[in-house]
Amino acid sequence: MGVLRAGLCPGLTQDMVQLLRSRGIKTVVDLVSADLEEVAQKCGLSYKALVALRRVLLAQFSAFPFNGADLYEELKTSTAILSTGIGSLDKLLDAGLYTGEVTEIVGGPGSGKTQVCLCVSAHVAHGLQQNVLYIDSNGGFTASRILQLLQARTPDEEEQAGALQRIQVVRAFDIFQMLDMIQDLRGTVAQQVTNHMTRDRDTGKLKPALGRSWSFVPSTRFLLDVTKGTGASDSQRMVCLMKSPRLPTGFQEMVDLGTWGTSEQSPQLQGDHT
Amino acid sequence: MCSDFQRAESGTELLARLEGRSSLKDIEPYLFADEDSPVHGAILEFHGPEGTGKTEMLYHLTARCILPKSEGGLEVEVLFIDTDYHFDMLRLVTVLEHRLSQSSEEVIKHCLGRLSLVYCSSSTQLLLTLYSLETMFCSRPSLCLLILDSLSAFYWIDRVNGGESVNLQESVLKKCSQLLEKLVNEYRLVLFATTQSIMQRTANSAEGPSCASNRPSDAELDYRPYLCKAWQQAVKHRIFFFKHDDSNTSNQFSLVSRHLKSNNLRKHFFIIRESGVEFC
Repeated sequence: MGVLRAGLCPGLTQDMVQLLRSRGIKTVVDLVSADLEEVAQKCGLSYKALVALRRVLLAQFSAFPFNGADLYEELKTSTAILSTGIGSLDKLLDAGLYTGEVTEIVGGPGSGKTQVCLCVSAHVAHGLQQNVLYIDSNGGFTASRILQLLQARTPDEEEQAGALQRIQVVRAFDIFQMLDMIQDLRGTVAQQVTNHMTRDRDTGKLKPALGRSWSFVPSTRFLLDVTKGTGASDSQRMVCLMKSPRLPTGFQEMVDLGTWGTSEQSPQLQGDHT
Repeated sequence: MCSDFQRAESGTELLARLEGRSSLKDIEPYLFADEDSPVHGAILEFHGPEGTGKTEMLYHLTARCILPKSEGGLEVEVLFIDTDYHFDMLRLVTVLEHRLSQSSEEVIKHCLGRLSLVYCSSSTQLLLTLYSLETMFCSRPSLCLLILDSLSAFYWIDRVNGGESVNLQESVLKKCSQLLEKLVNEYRLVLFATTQSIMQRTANSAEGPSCASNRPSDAELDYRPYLCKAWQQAVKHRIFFFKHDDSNTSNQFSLVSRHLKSNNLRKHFFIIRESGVEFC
């Protein structure tokens, strides 16, 4: 969008483009914001034609307003909440991952971010019977681990195979490959991303990486922290809600990485599997 | 004038433009630092780091506007321009449900009928959309409130596209600011625009914005204006948002409202419940 050229919209001929360009009007924005009377005089074009052209360009390139009631109707049918398969995590996320939103997992190395992704993928593919697109940019995805997780959920090999088929894995090691992948996605999805931790330059405190500009993008963010102290086993993690559009932040839950492979402890979720 | 079309305004349009728009004085008195300042033609900027309640405040204001008068609302129309796809319709519906004495799907849909939503994905699209929305403002006198969440969403993309020249980088946003000012003044609207704190002050300033300090001047410690001058000049009130980190599960927030001409400062505390923003 931008530069005026012949055929950009109905009524815009090459001659018009040349005449406009000779008077400094090169882009759509230039034309739309110009005083059309002045332009008509200077370029020798018909005022009526310019007005019509402006109207067509605006109709073609500006965004169309939606009515709130209509949008609500549409969202009621198309929004879904995907349970993560981990009871305590679902509590933190107010039932699960919402479609149309980005949820960010933050944690230091070895905190279990990839484990969470694998576990959620297995649950969504097998428990919820939905498709998963797994974009791997750091080589953390191993098919054998997914198979392990699925084997712990069901002994039926056909079910396992069915779930594996619903998971599509793409390896993207630079930002352009990743953007390419995301551009081809259609339909409503719930997105889950992982992020590393870094230290704040001034205070030395740990904070999520990628800076402030990224921090505004996800709607929900939770932190995975390795729990220290006596009595805490190696596989336990503390999950803390850092940002949420619908729950107060600061809530914490304990999860155990070791039990993630097995069928959920919570009785509600077990009911879903039958 | 309504548009570039060389035609006379019809009688109804003239009346709509002059008589017009109902007063939004009661929309939220806590946001205005200067009680005497006129509400028509006001541009207010919400500024703050993420998670500080800016978008929640917008839902609060939207609900105040679209609820019927019988339920304590202003019964006016709202136009919400979303540039970063953060608008959560289900959250707004939750807020409405809690504020209605009898909430039913019918009533909710009736309220939502007063809300129009536009999604823009670039600053150029925002500018063109504002031009084409002019006819909407012209023909709908009950449309009083314009919300823009957020104005800074395209900041880095614009900088990349502008190359080396700062003027070029800022040119589209400058045009947007000027057009917004013109629309707000001509049609006597109120505009609430959010901007994100994406810039950091240098290490010289000791206190960060997250401390629950009582001195109003701390509000500006972390503030570094980065949007174009045209926008800085168009804003009448700047409202800084903070979150209090004292307790573990806190939902305490505060805002500092500053009237830019008179330099009046007001500080208010609020919490966020299921029903939305509640001032303390």
